[in-house]
Parts: sequence; C-alpha cells; structure tokens
Amino acid sequence: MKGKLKEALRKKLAKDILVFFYENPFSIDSVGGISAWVNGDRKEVQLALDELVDLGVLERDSMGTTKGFSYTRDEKVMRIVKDLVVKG
Amino acid sequence: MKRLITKLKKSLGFQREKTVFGKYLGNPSWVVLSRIPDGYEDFKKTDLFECVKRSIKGKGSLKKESMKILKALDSSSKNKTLECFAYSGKKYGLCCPLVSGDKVFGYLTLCGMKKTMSEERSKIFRAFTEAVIRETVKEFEIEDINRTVRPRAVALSTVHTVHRLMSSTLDLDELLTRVARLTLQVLRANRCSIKLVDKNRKVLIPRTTIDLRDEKAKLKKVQIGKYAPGKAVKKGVPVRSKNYLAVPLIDEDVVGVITLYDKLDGSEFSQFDEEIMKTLAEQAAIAIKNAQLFKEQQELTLSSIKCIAQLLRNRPHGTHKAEGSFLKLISLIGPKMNMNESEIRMLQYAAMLHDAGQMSIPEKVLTKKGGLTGKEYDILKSHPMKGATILSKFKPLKPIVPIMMHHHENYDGTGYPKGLKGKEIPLSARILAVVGDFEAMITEKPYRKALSIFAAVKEVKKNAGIQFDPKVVDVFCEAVGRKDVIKLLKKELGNK
Repeated sequence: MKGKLKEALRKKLAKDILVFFYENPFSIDSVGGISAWVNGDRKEVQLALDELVDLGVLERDSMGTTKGFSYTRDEKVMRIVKDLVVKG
Repeated sequence: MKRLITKLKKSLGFQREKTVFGKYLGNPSWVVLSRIPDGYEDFKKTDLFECVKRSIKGKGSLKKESMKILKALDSSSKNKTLECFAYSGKKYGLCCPLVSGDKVFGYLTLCGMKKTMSEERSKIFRAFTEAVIRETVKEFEIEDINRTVRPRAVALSTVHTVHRLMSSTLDLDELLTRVARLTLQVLRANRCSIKLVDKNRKVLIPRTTIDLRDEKAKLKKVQIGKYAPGKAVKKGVPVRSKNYLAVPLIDEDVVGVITLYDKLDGSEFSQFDEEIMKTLAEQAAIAIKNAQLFKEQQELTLSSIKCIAQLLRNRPHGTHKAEGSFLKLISLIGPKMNMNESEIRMLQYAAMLHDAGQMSIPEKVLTKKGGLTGKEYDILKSHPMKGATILSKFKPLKPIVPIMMHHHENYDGTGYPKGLKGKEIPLSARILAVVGDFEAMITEKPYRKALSIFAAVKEVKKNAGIQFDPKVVDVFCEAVGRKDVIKLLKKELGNK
C-alpha cells in the first residue's frame, strides 16, 4: 500500500489533498470545498479524491448528489500517511 | 512579540540586510533584543554582552564600555531613533528600534563594526530595516490568520457538508446511524451513542450506538437526569469530561442526546470539540425532527388508507382477502423492476385502494350474478377514473392517481379507460394489473367461485403479452413461487 500511495503522491494535487486531511483529520468536505482548500481544479480534484478513496486513505459518503470525503480512521494507514507527509 | 522577533530573524529580508550591510561594516555581530536591559547586571545576561565581551581586549574596561553601550541603547529606546555608538577605542556599534505601527517590539543591535555609519547611510539602514519589518509583519499576520481562522473555516465547511449529508434522508433509523457515523468522523472519537427522549416514561431510549473498537454496545435506557446523557438532557447543556462529551439535541424542546466516548488519539475532549458538536447537534436535531414528522405523516397517510381499505372490504363484493400476500408480492416484484423504495410504497398504497372507485358503483351492478348489460359494463369501467378522482383530492396520495387510473389497461391496448398500450401504461399500473387480477381470481366473487393459486398463476401466464406485461409476469411467477409467499397466501385464504 505504501508503495502505491508514494506513487500517487508524486502528483502535487494528491499530496496537497492528503496534507489537508492530515492537518484537518476531522474534516468532511465536498469536492467543491476541497478544491477551495487546495486551490485546485474541481475536475482534477475529483479524480485525485477518487484515487485516494481507492487507496483507502480517504472515505467517501454519498447521499443523492452530495458527496463528502473524509480522512481514514485506520491507524495503520494513518501511520503510513504520517510517514509520507512528515518525512516527505 | 517573541514570535515576531523569531520570524524577523529567520526572514529572507533580514538575511539580505545582513549580507548588504555586513560587508560594508566589517562583518559585525547582529543581535536582536526584545527589550533594553535594565542596568549592567541585566545587560550581562544578553547575547549582545557576549559579543561585546569577545570584541574587547582586557576585562578591566568591560563594565565601562558596556555602560557606554547601555547609554546609547537607552537613548535609542527613549527617542525611537537609530543610535550609533563607539566603544573600546576603534570599535563601533548601533541600536535601531524595531517599530511596527506605534509599538516598539525589539531592538536590532550591531557590535564589532569597524567604522561608524554616516547619517546618510544610517537613514538607508533604517529604511531597509523598516521595509524588512513591514514584510515580516505582513507574513506574520497572514500566518496568524491561517492559524486561527483556517481551522474554523474548515470546521464550518465540514458542518455544512455534514448538514447536507444528514438532511438528505427522512428515514429516522438511517438518519440516526448516519449522524452517529459522521459525528465519529468529525470528532475523531471511538464511540457514539444517540438516545431519544421518551416523554411518557421520562427516560432516554437508545436508538443507535456505533463503536469502532468492535466492543459490544450495551443499549441501556437512561433516566433523564442520570449519567452524562441524562444530565445533558435535563440541563439542556453539554456535559463534558476527559473521555466523554454529551450534547443535547434541541429543537424547541430537547429531542435526545448524542454522546461521544474516547478520542481516537487518546486526547481529552476540548472546548473546540464541544463547540463543533453543539453546531452539529443543532443540525442533527432539525433533521431528526423532520424525520419524525415525516414518519408521523406517513403513519397518518397509512391509517387513512387502511380506513378506506376497510370500508371497501366491508362492502358486499369486498375483496382484499389476501392483503398481506398482495403487499408482499409487490415488495418482491418492485425491486426486480428497478423501482425505488418510495415508488414501491406508493404502489402498495395503490394496491390497497385500487378499487376505491367501486364505492360509487351501484351495489346491484357489483353483485349481479349473471352477465352485465352494456350500460352496466360501462358503469363498471368508470371505476378506475372515479377512484382516481376521489384520491386526487388527498395530496399525499397524488403519485398513486395514475396507477389507480390505468390498472385496468391491457398490454395489447384493449383495456380501459384510455386504451393505452405496452410501455404507455405506467410500470406501477402494469404490476398492479397482474397482482390485482391474480388476487381477484383467487378470491370468491358473487358471480363465480375462487380459482386455486395454481390455476390463477396459469391464467396469468396465459395472458402474458395480451393483458399483462410479459416481463412483469415473469417476475410475478418467480415471486409467487416462493415458499414464504405460498404459505402466507394459504394462511390468508384459509388453506386453499
């Protein structure tokens, strides 16, 4: 998992999103909201979010047209993220 | 101010200033003081003293030279001006107050300069320093905004998203589970329990508990006023401790309480957690009240339908003997025909009322044993339209009006009232046509005996593609063949 995540984080946008959730682990936000926090294009942010959900770092809550993304609660994954974000 | 001084010392502008002026002044030592030392003893504790000590040969003159420097520092502080000073023969230094707005937040001192600074260069030095301060203060303010405002903005955005996720369901059980899950996510806690107030018994009834540690959740009723959840409800305010946080759900009156236990990282619940939770609880209370009202409205609608259905059953020709099986069949067919929950519910309502229009048909027509005359048949054929007209007055049942109107249409276009064909007939009406006719066939009528279940299914199959939608017939046959359905049918029909 770490290898795949490291690969994904080569993209600046994915890294910015992950840093955002690492710094604000309580946050649940929409694509629009996250695009504003990381100053990214909405469509590209959507793609990056989907990739991070597939990697198990983020969770997706869908209800009708509303989608909320939040940080994982899996301690093992959180440790890997900390490692990658803090050590770069 | 210490943070501002640290930031200034690390700033690119300050490093640039040191490079530009350092070379010209013979690489002096740069020291930033947060205040002017109060006398010699106090001066001895500063980094500036250490620099002066290093640059003076012979300790005897150290105090005397230090006093000279202190005098210059005092003058700089008093006049808020840049003061140059000389000490120990040919050594020079300066003190420049660091001013932001009206406030002096420190003093930039240089010692060990090889020459003094001309008035003109002093002005340039001061202007450079002021520019560096302005830049640093601006960066400092932005950092401060980021540090204080950003987390609140992120929290606000979270609350907004959570509210949207919460308010998109009116199913109380689904809503409570979702509220608990979202709350656990936002507050990063291990366990969340939601209890609702049962006013009659003055207790809190546990409705949802989620524990991320796979611990078995004990669902206990709690007396209002007891333990953290009970106290929060009684007082109408949050009750917080190191490892729990209970927040009442208030919408005009207290409807319940959300209690969180044990933060994921082992930290204590904070004031910030409480503030966030209070906002979430306000949103949750509104969503819960809406879901409760919706449920009440649904119950009211269902009671009204049951009332009308009972009236229909009490008529001499009344059918609906196998109502339970009838509704069960619809609940099995609906999902297979890609209908959503609300559409299935409406179809079930329509099934209970589909012959409501027969209320306006004379009894002698309905109970006639021989064949109907043309006129009588025309009267009978008007019942779907009449039923639809009666029920269109009842707003919550508007969606079932087209089902009522078209449940006697035939798939090949030979039905009534409109003679619609194939997919022109609403899907729900096509399903009701099959289930309704099946139900009519297995029920005894004044003019004929009831068919057996097997014979009725055979008759339905025979009419696939003529009277009925063949796809619906396939799904119906699969459903009616289930053991549980057969058992229920036999029970309702008296084991035929």
